[in-house]
Amino acid sequence: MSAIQKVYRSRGRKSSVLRRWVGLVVLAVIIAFVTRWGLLNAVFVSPNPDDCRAAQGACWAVVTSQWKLVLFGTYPFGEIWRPSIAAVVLLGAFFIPLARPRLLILASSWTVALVIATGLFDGRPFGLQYVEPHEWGGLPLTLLLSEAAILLAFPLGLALALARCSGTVILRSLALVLVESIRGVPLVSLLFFATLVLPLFLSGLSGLDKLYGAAAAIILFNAAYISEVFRGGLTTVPIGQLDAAKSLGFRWTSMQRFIVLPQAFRACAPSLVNQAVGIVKDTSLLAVLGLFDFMNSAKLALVDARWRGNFVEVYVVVGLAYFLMCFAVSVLGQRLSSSLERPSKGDEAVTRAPLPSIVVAESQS
Amino acid sequence: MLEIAPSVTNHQIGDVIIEMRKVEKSYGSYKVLRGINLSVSRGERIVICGPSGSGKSTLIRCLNQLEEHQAGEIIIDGTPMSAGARGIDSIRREVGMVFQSFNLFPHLTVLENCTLAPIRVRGISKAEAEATARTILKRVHIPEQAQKYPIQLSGGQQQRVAIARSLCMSPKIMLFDEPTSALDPEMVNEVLDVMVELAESGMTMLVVTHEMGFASKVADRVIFMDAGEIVEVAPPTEFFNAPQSQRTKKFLGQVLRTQAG
Repeated sequence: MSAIQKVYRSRGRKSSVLRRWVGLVVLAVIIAFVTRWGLLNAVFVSPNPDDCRAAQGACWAVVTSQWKLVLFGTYPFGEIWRPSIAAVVLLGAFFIPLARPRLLILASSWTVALVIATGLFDGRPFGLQYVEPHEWGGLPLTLLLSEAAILLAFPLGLALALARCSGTVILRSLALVLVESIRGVPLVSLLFFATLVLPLFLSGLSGLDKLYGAAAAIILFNAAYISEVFRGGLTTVPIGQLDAAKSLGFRWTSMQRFIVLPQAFRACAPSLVNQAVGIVKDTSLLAVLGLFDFMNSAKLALVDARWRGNFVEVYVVVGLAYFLMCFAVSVLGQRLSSSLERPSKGDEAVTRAPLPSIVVAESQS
Repeated sequence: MLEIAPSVTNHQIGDVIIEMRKVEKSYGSYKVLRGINLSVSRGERIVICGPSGSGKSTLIRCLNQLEEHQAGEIIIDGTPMSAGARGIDSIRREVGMVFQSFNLFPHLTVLENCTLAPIRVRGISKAEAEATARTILKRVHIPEQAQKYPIQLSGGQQQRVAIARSLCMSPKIMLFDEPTSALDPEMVNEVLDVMVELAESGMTMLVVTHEMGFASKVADRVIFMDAGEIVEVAPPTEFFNAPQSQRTKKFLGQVLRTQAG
């Protein structure tokens, strides 16, 4: 070790000790402030905003006293048991593939849950009072839209990617035009286009509720991005793999299913998880159409002038809820992608593949 | 001088299994194959050699239509190769191919590499496919590696798995596209030994290789290609001892000198 390296090393050690202490102090201050503001001095339940003004801490009462608005938005208050059950069903279906991370299990459990949940929201399939889709709202709606969009955008994106890599010129150029035109437009304008402009030209769509148009826009928009992620994964599969598959007599579909896609998936799994998390947050753009997703519903709690000053608390609650949802999606994505990585048997050469992601995670922290 | 001692000769040569008539192939204006005529009999072992860019790989890749030819006829076991996609799939099932770069499926174990096509393409049951695969892995001398992934094996072992993978489809013809060119020198023989054993079992083989020792030992006929044409076809004794064409002589001079040294 050279003298210069020694100096750097000892300096590094000193500064890391110092840094650790500074860090701990800063952390302690933050924790002290948050507990005092958020717990000790906070008002959790009170119908009266004046109680909050008297206290020094957070006013969670803005949320708790108006929980129906925050959680269910514009859904008719008498019927909120329906979206409640829908939310439980959707959450349940979300956790099933977490326990058994298989794509087929995810697809089937989510499909069943989405059908039941939509039926409950709508009411008619269960012989209940009809609630129009633009009245649906709150956290259950965000769950419904997120799961529906993730479930549909991924297969559509995969289809677009395969079309774009196919040998057929018509398919390839159709996919290209579709992907590029969707990707080149902000989601907000796509939402307006799907709900306002399209029904003007296609009379068949004029009766359709704007919620469905909005959902379609979110799905299409994300499918375009996902298709590019998949395409990146597909290009990592060497041409020799296709030669080998063809020489064994594989037809196109089984070649994709058993040889190309498993390898492509592995290459682009982290970016795909990224897209899934993005979809959850994209659903909050429904607000621009006057629909009440969870974000927009929570803001209803501030409509009452007496509560208007407590916006910080509302956004903290909303932020925490979105964080939990996105974190859950991210964990599920990681479970699914690591289920694709076969366990290695002893040899370090096999464990080489997942290593880079660990290194990245450490260097970021 | 190379020792010409055909050690694998006593075998049956049957009816014609591959027929190529005036086959032409070009990339743009560049002609890779200029009217190839070749007929191969069942059980015959053919070694194709020639300088790089002479079209030897393209020739055998046309036989299972990894490359499409533009003119001429290719008939494999009675089925013409222009019979549309369905026909090509069914011919590919009967024609095994081994590549220079192995092309094993990296996400599957050795055993899965060997059973995937029999299960998914031939529709054989998993148990049966695995039993066959284990027998064939024994034949290529790596039964103990069945549960490993390709990346855990040496080059020579990978190429033997690739041979096993093709054999698991019980093909009628085996094509080898420079099977030892990507291997470290000490691993070449373990692969060639497996190929010799395969030849002894009576498999119809077309082998593109620069291993002249293998050619002299195994081949019924050696084909020399240059600039997209078949220049010379002869049994190994004639081919190595009395080559007719000037181009063959020049090529042999170069190859044998490097391989002797």
